[in-house]
Amino acid sequence: MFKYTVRRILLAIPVLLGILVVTFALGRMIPGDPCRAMLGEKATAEVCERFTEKFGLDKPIPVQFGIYMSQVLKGDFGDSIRFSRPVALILIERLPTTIELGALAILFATLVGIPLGIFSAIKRNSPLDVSTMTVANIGVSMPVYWLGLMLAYAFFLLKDTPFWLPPSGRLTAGVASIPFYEVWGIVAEPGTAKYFFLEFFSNLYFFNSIITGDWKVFQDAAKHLILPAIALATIPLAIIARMTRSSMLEVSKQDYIRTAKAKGLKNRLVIFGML
Amino acid sequence: MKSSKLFIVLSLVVMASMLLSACAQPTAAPTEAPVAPEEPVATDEPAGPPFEGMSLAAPDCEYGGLIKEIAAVDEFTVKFSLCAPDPAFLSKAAFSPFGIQPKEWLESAMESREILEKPIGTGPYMVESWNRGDSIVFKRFDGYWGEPAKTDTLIFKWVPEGAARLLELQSGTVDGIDNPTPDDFETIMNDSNLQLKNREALNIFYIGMTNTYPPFDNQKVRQAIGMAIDRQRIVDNFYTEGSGVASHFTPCSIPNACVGEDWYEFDPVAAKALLTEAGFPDGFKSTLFYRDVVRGYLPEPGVVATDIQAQLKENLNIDLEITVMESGAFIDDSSQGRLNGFHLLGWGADYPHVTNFLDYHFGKSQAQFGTPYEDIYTQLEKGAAIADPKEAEQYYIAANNAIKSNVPLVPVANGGSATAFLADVEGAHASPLTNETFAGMKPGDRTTFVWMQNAEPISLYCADETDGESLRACEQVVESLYTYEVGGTAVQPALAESCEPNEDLTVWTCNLRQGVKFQDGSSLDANDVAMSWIVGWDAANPLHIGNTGSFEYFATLWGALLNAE
Repeated sequence: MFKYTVRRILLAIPVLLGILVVTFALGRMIPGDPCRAMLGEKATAEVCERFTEKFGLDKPIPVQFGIYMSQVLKGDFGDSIRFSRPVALILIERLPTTIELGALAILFATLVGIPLGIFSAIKRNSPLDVSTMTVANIGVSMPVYWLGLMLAYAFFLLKDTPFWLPPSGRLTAGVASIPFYEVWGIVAEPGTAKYFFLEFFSNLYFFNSIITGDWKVFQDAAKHLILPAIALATIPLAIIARMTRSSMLEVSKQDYIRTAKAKGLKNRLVIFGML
Repeated sequence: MKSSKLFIVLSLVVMASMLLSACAQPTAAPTEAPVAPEEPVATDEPAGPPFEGMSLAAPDCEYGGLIKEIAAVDEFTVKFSLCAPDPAFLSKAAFSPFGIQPKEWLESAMESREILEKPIGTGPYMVESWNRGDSIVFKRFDGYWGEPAKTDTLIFKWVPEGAARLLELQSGTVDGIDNPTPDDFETIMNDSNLQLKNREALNIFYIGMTNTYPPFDNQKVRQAIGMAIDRQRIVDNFYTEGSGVASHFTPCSIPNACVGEDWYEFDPVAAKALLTEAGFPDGFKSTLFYRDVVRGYLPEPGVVATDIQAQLKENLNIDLEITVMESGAFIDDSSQGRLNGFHLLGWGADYPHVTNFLDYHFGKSQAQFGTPYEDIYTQLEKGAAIADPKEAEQYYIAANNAIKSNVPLVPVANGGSATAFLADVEGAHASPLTNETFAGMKPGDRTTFVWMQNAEPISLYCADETDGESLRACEQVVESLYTYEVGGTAVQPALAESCEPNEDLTVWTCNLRQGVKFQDGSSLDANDVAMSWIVGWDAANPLHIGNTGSFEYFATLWGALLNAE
């Protein structure tokens, strides 16, 4: 497993390099003046000159690419043109949200996908199997952003019922997640590594609310995560369900399964055995 | 085998170092410890040292900008000397990029960039926290000199999709949203729980012609075109609710914009007769240039271009070939008057003054429509020398009539937008300048007002920002010398009780309101005003840092930055 993981990570390196080359090339191939695209068409020539110089856009393309690559390899993704802040910092700021959402989506996909696959395999060609696999196929094909909007609409119809779920955001306006380090009186100077790590972990709202015992925030964060997690989980859920079903069917045809059944082993035990 | 393991280990080390270096980005310590805002200090403190006013003057006006000198004359008087008369000084000075922050805060928080997240102003709200990617929380500033905010807490959230914003509003999780999708206007109007506020358009879409190319050098041809386009049909078919047919080039909510005669009525018969009189009874061939860029003033460029093509063919037998240009090249060519044919373009207000529309397009040095029209620009020059709108009105009447007579362009439409609120929000409005004032809004009996806009602000130091999402957030916290009336464009005093011009409008002397407190407890004085302006205007100032360092509105509205290389 370790070797597999490492191999996959190493294989990702050329892929990432390829993506860097392609995105850099695309960025340079788009017609138009980057200054006026960013600052608006009323930006003066002087402003654009400073903009071009600041972002090194006056240098030859190969030189720009060289600078870009050397900075990326050092972990410096440059400053966001929109926010004028380090891209790496923005990524890391948003990472806790991604981690929470991704983890919940995978959990949901696994907990629902595996049982669905098992039931489909056991009840092969039954209406349950056909409908499950149809839904799974739809799930694989459905764009997540569209499903997200549809879920938001669907749950909006449940307004004024306990089943209503918020369509966006991480917390209800006015509900504040107080960082655990503030609750515990830990002081860190902004800008230091200690502050940065404390901020990072306190931005994991589930983690932060659990260790501080703030169940109101926990509940609110959970409500906000359900819809995006379901939307994000749809594709992996469908894949997991289909894979589980086909694996189960394949294993069920093995001699040892047939032998076990022939010897009178209960169906439930055979299924657990297959798992 | 060993070498492959070594390679794996090395790769992992490289990736770990990349991750660490990325993580290390924010750890750079600020060069100076920021001054945290404290509780307001007592007002009866002992008298300090005598006031020393700061000032900065350009050596001359050769640098190309409009500002000659900014000087704090005494504790409550600031003098702005200009290189040329500027009747729009107040309209510009009211704009949020020229907001005032304490001199000491600018000195201490600029280099550390803390000012980007924590502005200190004199406004009705102060920033409590900015949860990146999620929300900004503002708290009522109890020391506000004006009418206090009606809610304790104001929260800004953002979602890019109009449909999602509306869902939030319908769900009651927010109290107001910006820019609902035009398709949803009817839904909002039919929902008794919601209210829609149309935003008066402060832009213009027009069809330009360059008089240096025949047949556009013929005034009668241009006049025929001016009355041959059914502009109402374009607005009805391609524009949203709240948009309208333009009666003049400048949107009518701006003082002196719509004085003089209205534009020609649609009259294809008269247009055809005029074109025949001009020597083109069978029409002619030309080109229609546009860029495929959606703007508030032109929401559907392609179909509008096609409709204009069809109308001119039908009404005047003018055969138009449509040419779509890349945006940058289109702007360059159109502004230099290099487009031989028609061009579709528009303009949105930088500041609500008639000069921002008329002088930018019809001034003596403007080449967009070919040779500038003397009977237009002479009137504009006279109008630009007068600060009082009433006194200047006669010149703008003449200028607007001259535009109608010369037809350098056909003003078509003012593109509108809207805001939407829960029905129980009192004081709900939509500002033509998109600077809604939330201090005056009361959301039923709730103590928190939640506003949802299109995007996250870029920073809250708006001297160096241009996007409306940032400016709107800044305006709740930081005030300028003047301000715009709520929901309108007229200027009214804010931190200045008055700004008086000299006779030729080259010196504006502003008398500051006394007793105004900043949110850090310090008192407003003339040096705060001078410093707030100087750091933006002077590119050589060590505090001329901001977010991007562009200070674009300083450069654009005041001609150029001082000491810009």
